[in-house]
Amino acid sequence: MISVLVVDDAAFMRLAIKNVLTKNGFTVVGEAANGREAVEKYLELRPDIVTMDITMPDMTGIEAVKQIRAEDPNAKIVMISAMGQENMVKEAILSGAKSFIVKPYKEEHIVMTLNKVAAAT
Amino acid sequence: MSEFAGNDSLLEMFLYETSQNLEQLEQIILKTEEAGGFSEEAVKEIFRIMHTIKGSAAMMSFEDISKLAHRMEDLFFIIRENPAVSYSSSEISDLVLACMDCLHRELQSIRDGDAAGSEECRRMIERVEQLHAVMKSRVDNTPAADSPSKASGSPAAAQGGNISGNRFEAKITFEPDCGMENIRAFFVIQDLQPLCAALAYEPSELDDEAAKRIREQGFLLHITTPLSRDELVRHLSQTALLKDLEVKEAAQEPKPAKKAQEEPKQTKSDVTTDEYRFQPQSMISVGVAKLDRLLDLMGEAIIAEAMVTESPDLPATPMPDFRKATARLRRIMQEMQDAVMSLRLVPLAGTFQKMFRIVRDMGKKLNKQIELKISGEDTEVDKNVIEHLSDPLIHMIRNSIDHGIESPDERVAAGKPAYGTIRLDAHSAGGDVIITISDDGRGLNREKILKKAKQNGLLNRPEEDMTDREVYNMIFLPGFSTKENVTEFSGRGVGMDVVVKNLSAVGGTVSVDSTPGKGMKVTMKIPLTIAIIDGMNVVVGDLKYTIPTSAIRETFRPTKDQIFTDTEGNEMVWLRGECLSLYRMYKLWNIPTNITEPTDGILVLIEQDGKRRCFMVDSLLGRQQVVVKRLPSYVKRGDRLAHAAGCTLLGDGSISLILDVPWLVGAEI
Repeated sequence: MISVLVVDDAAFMRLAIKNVLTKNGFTVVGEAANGREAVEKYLELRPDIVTMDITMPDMTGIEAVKQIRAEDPNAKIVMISAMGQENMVKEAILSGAKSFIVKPYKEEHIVMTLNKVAAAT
Repeated sequence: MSEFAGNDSLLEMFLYETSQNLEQLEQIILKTEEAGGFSEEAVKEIFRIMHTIKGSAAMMSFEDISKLAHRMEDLFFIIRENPAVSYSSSEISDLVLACMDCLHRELQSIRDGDAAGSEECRRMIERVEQLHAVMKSRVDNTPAADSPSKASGSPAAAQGGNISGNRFEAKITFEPDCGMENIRAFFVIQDLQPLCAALAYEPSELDDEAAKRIREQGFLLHITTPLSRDELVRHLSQTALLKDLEVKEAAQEPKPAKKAQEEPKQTKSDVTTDEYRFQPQSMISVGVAKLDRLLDLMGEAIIAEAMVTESPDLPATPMPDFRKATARLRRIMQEMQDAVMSLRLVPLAGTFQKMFRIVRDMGKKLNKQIELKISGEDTEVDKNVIEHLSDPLIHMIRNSIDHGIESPDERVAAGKPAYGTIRLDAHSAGGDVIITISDDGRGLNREKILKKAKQNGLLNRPEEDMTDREVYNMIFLPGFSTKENVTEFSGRGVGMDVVVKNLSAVGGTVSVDSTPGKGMKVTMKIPLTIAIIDGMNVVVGDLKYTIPTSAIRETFRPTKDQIFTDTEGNEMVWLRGECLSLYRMYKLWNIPTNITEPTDGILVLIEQDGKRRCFMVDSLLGRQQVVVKRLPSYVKRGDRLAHAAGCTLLGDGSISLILDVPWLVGAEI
């Protein structure tokens, strides 16, 4: 069972992602609504994968990626991005994110991406 | 992407969160207007909200909503990235508010089950696009901050020649619709770079154009690496959303091409300051229907509890253990009831916040300067009650602005500050919440009200007999309006009685007081909840009635010399030097009973809003929490049961009518 921490400031988005993940056999072990919470939750829960929104209050997803990767260089983080955020995604990747999904996403894209990232060494 | 649209709980969440976002947006705009311009934080926050709405709406396939939010996001992007750009903040505020209204209406039509996406919405999108174009042209002189960073050539790859290792050509195809193919390609490069002696790729510039090309033709890589083919394939296979991968050994030297080696663009930190941040709490949102159901069940449980503990089958012998158990059960039920009730309580803040907008819009339109001050917005009331509060509040505030607050000139002439002030306050008092709306306008005019009342045939007493307060409260009578000219805002006299109607639907009352020249004050009294009340069960003949305990001042058995009849045959009772009207319930409703003399029965003194009356009943049954059930409409025909506020089921299974307190103290009997 692959454990996932879902990070998004929109509760709607968290629910949507959680629904998809749960339906496809992932375990959502926690949720966070901003970057700061994401870092705390990551250190507490140590999930296999984090799905990370980019634009969030308090601390952006990119900053959170940097902090999480600083604590755990093996952390696997998948960015959830909207169209038009190309540069943000690039920065996230340079900061250590493993992959990304573009909103509005297809269910199978999430599943495929997360499975791929989880399997990668 | 419409695979999400059919999901009810998601839709609910979408509607809920989007409305919340819009409310938050409204607050930001209003604060901005107060501050006289958009602060950096405000711009960021608006950008973020629009971004969130865009994403969620796209997920639910509400294209127009998503598009509108996207356009707003674009607009605020320009402002965010070009702080120096000149714009009229009031023009933008107006646009954002108009846009918000439009989105609110879209949400409503989704709630109503209509298709989202209206002509209005599309017009709105055009408006935003126009402004966007204007803004864009203003910043065109400065380099656009969002232009994709160009991949720069790297010396290592450009040299091309003398690099040792195996040479491969790889072609990568991504899943259709996965989005941002150019960034995916960039990701592959980032990943592969450390393992390669040389790396070149086509298209060489990973910009927006490239995304399209990669989507159509795939992404080509020329790789020189110490890895074997298998190792390379294994590595590339880890790419997410990979549809197809071809790797073949290359015979020729890779063509010199550019290599990706770009510095991450330093984006400004997005951390916002406290002013606009709304910390999400650890909460879950639950559908109101579920809470209603829980409350219903709670009500049933209370009745069932009474049925057990007061069952006629129970032996008359003392049962200490049983009694101990029932006492414990009762305590738990009580706590549970409180808990269920508290779930349904919502702070008034949201409702109060809406008023800022009303004040702003009307003030602008009527050229009046008004400040709204709110306090006690933390006060909580039942969800069902709050829905009935918004309209009356809007109405009273509009009335204050339209009729109460004078124009700035008039105010200055009267020695008042040019700014009018409206205060909105809430606090709880026992089982009630008191909301007051006060202004410092011209106040109510007794003569005008009386004149109007006479014209409309609403005056049924000599005017000299009426106190100022009584006169003022006539404005709540149906079909009353002192303003000769009907304005856009304060309607045509259908107003005030609607306030009364709305409030009485939740058991609330409204009254007004005024000091001429100094302003007026409207007081609304609303019960915290309407579903479960503390009642006194009384017996009249074979029937049982329930009287809300909050209205009972005392119960007593009178002596013969306390009872007398006045010259018109009305029965009265003396109580500690006070003379009160006495009504015998069995006579009111022709109920056969053996107890016909007040000295054999019990008198119940009812008081509300300073009005007191005594009612005679046969006996008291006891106090109990009762669940208020609405009377079916086929029972409550006409005025036949005007005295009943509802009914309830007692422990023994019999039905008891809950008496309506305003009727008891006010009706003409």
